[in-house]
Amino acid sequence: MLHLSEVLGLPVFDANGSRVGRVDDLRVDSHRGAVDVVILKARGGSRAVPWSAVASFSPEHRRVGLVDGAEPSPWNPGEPETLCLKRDVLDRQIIDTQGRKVVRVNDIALEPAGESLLLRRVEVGLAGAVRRLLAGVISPRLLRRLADGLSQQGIPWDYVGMVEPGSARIRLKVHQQLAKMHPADLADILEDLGRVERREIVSALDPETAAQALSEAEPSVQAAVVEGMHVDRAADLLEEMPPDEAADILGDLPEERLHAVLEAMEDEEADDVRELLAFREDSAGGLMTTDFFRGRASWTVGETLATLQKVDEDLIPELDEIPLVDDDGKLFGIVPLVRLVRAPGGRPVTEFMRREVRAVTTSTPFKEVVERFEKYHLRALAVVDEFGDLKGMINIEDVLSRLVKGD
Amino acid sequence: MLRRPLQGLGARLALWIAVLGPGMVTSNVDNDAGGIYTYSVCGARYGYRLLWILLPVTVALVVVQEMCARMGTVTGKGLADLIREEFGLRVTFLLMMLLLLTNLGNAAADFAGLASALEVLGLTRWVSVPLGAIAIWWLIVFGTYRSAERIFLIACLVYFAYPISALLAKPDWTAAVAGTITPSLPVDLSGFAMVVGIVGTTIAPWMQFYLQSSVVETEARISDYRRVRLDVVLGSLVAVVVAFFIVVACAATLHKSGVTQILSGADAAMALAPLAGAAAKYLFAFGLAVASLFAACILPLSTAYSVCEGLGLEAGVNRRFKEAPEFYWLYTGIIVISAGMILMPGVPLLKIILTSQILNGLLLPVVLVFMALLIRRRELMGEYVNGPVYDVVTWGTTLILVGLALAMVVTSFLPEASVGF
Repeated sequence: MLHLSEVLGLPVFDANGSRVGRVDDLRVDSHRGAVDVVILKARGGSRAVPWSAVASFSPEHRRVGLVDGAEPSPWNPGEPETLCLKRDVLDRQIIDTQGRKVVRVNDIALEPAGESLLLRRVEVGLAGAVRRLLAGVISPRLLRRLADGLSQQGIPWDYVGMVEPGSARIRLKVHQQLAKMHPADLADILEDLGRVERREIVSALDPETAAQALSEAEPSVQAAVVEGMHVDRAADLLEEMPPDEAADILGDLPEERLHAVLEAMEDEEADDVRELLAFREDSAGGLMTTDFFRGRASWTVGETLATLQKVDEDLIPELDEIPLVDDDGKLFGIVPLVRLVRAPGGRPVTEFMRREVRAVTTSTPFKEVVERFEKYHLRALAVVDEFGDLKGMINIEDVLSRLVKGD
Repeated sequence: MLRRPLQGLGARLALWIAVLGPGMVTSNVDNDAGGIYTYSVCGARYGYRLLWILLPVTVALVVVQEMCARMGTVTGKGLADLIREEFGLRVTFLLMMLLLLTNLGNAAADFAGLASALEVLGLTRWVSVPLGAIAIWWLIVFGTYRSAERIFLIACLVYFAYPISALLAKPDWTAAVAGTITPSLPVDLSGFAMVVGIVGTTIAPWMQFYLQSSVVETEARISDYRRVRLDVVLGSLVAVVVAFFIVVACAATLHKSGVTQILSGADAAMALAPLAGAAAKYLFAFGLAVASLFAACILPLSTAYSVCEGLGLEAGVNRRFKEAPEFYWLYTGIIVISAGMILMPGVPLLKIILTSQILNGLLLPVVLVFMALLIRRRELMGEYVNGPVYDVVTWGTTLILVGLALAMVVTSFLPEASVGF
């Protein structure tokens, strides 16, 4: 096993034994997870040699030898579409997709396998730090022995999520790995990252995954992320969220930005959000979602269940308690889903409603809403306006998360 | 269109306290034991003559703090993080070790402040220092730091005793104004140390790390940068105004009556006599104890945080001990060592305090160089890079400090000029 810290700075010699420069960086073919170009610091600027032109590579002998006829070509160190280990990975934050946290890279372990030099692990522990600190200060052999005795914390390359993915191909890899993580873990990771890194991650994810992750994050982080994004992209992302959460985030933005994002959103979603934004944040109106399923009081159980089967997947978490409305859109009653499932299909749905209709108005203070939930052991609560028209639903989840975040 | 803000008295109070942002907190910690004693010594020894230093120091403080706040807001990263990413592990490690060393001195200075404050009341340091250390440690590891911070901040109102006392002492305003606007360097060699100490205590290196991390933690956004900047500028001004009145109060009392040496807290307390009369020593002891405890709480925390941040270790009070062992061990170690230093027999408390401020002054130019280099990088700061005026002030401050630091190192090798006051 080799380490990047041992490789950087090694002198490079051509086949005739004359020195052409020092190792400055290693470029990686991220598809194969192997080094494909050695970048040299030579007199007159940076040069690149393909890995296939390297004849011998040994930190123990402190030299890298090139094959006969190898011709280092000029190299632009700012080249964006590549992944270079020193420039893009060393000392940077990466995501440990297995341990689900953000870590900083101290060193990188490489392994020669046949013709190629494979990336094995990213080192984040003390051993890597010591190797970096003492490289070139004490003899490589002594350093190796010293470092081997320290705690080795490595993350296998396959589980490394790059935070600043340069090329489209790396972006794809990031996407695949991150999309597999739980949104709550993704949210924690977002919270640990810097401004630019957050933007990179959010833009590497599809709007749906990004929206899920963002809804799990702290309100201040949500606003910071949305504010840093391009307006159209922010609009795409907010459209994926339940309107109440989107309104919460938008309510924290500066007014100008808020209008710009609303303009960019689809009309239907934007209207929902606008309606919610008019309510006070600490009222039932500010807490409710307007995106929910409502049944009709005139339906039978069978009709209701049949409609439910076609309902959008996003609404599933809201289906424990189903509000019924009359022909004018006024709240008629609440029917629990469980009762419906057990009821004979031909009966009117109103027969299975809860005895009392528990509802609050849009202006009911949050504190009262909480008391209602606690007193009647509710899982969902209907919200009506002053005319009794059903306006929204509050879920126990909404109450819980507001209670937790409101501290 | 926008939601109406919270109403009710409790909510308004919460809002008011929330407005006390990272800038205010940093400045109040800035006037810790080291600050109070350094300014007191300055006033007692040199009267109004060195007041002029506070003018350039104010400019430098505002500029430096604003840069930190801006970097934190734009990048969302702490200063140690940025240094690590841009300058590599080795440089970061060295810098962190220097910071650790300096801050051990600062934390020791704060325990010394606590000890000397309570010695005024007759409480031996063998009781006050261990108790204080345990209380602070417990607060962070088991308690809720945030609520403690509020209490500390409210207790910091005691600093207003200095302006009042200074006014009551009927200072020689002509001399004070003259001292503020006419620069003059004291002829004795320890004057260099005094100047470096004042700069070092007012613009302490730890503050830059602490402030930037705090700004990042509050998730300040570019859109509310004006608010962040206001907080930082006001905080800086408050810090310097308090410093100004400490010097004036000491000049109008101690210096005027011929007391140019401050040997203990009881001496320094005399500056508050015009306000509190015989109770001056209690007022002083209370103020110094609060300031010392507050700073002794934040300094080890901020140091452990910066070091872990720079070295890529898990850190933060919201992590559990198992999740961030290095952070908590470092925090514990700093408290134990700095409190332990004060308990060594025969340790001169005031000398520790003043020396630590000079160490600050020596490390500061190093930190400033890194900051000045970082904030020029367009790939990091985008359109928020330093403008030409800022660049001049930053590099100017840095160069002056490097000059002062060098001058002081040279003079400290001269036989007659030990860093004594």
